Amino acid sequence: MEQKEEISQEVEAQEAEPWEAWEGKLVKYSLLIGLAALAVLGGLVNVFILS
Amino acid sequence: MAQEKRWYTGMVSSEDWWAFWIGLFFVLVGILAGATGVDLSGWVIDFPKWTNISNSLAPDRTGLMSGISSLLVSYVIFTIATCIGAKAMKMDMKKYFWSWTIIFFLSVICYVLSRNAYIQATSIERAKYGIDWSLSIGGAHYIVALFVGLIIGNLAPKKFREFLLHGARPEWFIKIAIVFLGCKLGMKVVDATGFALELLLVGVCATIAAYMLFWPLVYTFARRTFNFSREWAATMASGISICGVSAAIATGGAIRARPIVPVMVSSVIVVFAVIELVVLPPVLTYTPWFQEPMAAGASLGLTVKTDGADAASGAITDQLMRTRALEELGVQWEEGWITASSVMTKIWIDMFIGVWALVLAMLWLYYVEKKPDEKVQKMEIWWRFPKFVLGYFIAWILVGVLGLTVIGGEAMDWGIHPFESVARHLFFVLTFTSIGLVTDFRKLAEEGMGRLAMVYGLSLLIIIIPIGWALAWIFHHGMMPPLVSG
Repeated sequence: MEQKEEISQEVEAQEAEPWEAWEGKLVKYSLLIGLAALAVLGGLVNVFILS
Repeated sequence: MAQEKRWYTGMVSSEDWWAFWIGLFFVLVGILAGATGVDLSGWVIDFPKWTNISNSLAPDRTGLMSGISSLLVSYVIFTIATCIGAKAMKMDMKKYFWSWTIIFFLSVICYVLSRNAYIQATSIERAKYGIDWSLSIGGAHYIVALFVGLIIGNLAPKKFREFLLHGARPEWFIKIAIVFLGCKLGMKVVDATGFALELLLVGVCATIAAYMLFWPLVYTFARRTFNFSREWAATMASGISICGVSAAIATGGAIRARPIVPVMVSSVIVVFAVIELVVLPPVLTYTPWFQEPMAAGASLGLTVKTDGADAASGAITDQLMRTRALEELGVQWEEGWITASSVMTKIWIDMFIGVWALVLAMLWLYYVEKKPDEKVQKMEIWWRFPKFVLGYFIAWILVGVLGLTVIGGEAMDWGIHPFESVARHLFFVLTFTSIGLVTDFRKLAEEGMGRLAMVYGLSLLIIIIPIGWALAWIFHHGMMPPLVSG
């Protein structure tokens, strides 16, 4: 029971910090890199390996 | 803390390194056997399909010794090897030994019983075994081992369950098996160099795209929709995007999260990985994914979040799909390519942990802890690098290069086969039993875990699986496993 309460407190009572600009940048640039990788590498793989 | 580390830190004390040492030791024994012609490896126990149980055990090299002798020799040798590792990792040796022994023989019983020809023989093999029906469940031994492990791990008396945890090391066993898998890739290079390299290339490309899409989406989802704090969101995003437990722990270390954070995230990851392990292989086999077996394998690497469950689900899918192909299409795909496809993507993801841990460590220093003067060591990449992956690549290169040059393909296959195939399957079964034993479904019932499980489950369903499946198809579509020759 005590352990349950401890876990509950850990997860539920965590005060979430406000979203900051650097987090937005991290997310934005990661997504951009991911999409660029998808377009470029996907294109290359499809042209040179899978076709 | 980190400053005291050297490049060789953990070489004799970490599970990763002991997977490397044990796996590579047996690989070298196999190579030596192939090079000299001395039978150093034929003792490994195999579990052929049977109709008479007296034929259920046999050494890989038929005629070398009896099945029972091979089983005992294999038990003794693998016990010594893992006990040396356990001792170096400072485990409680007595408890490890007895627990390992129980798990080993439990796995052997599951393996033997589920290799019955009525359970596993394909329709084409029925005449060979003199039977007129069979269930054709390839890979039944993995499923049986998992369920037996789950039953004991969740229903056995607490004391016994906890005792078995001393020897239930699914991540360790699967890492050893993955080093063995490197040999298989090496042999495949000997047989089909181009295809193996293509698989390697498309695997890394899919991984880069997947990771850079998964992480930010899950992080944003956890932070903005579920209002998690940064340490929870970052740890969870890494755990669900990269390779589960080790990524959660690496991220927790990099951002200096409280120890409870990666531990709790890890427990959710393990439970969901088992659910994926049970659900995804049949889903992939009996849907249009069957037309794209290599892409199906890769999709597992991108969506199943522990090394053990990923390789295990790859092995089940490999068996199920090959059985279906043989039954319905009359074609025999080579064993191991679908598993290799699932492991290949996962291995690239594993390698990414070090880089991402470094990026997060720097961001947290500069923006969260506001310590711009403190430097993050570049060696962090090496420390976080999964060392068993080195073993996988070394095995791959050694077997491939030596098999193509000085030793020759046939001799190499003779020497290495007991490890790249038979011992690998045995360690897979040990992994399945152990996964079952360590999976505690009670965790999900604990208060507070519900919110974590909710984010994890929803992220899997709406982010990881759809994107992972799309990327697996984009980067692997049209690739087919080579057919068995002859």
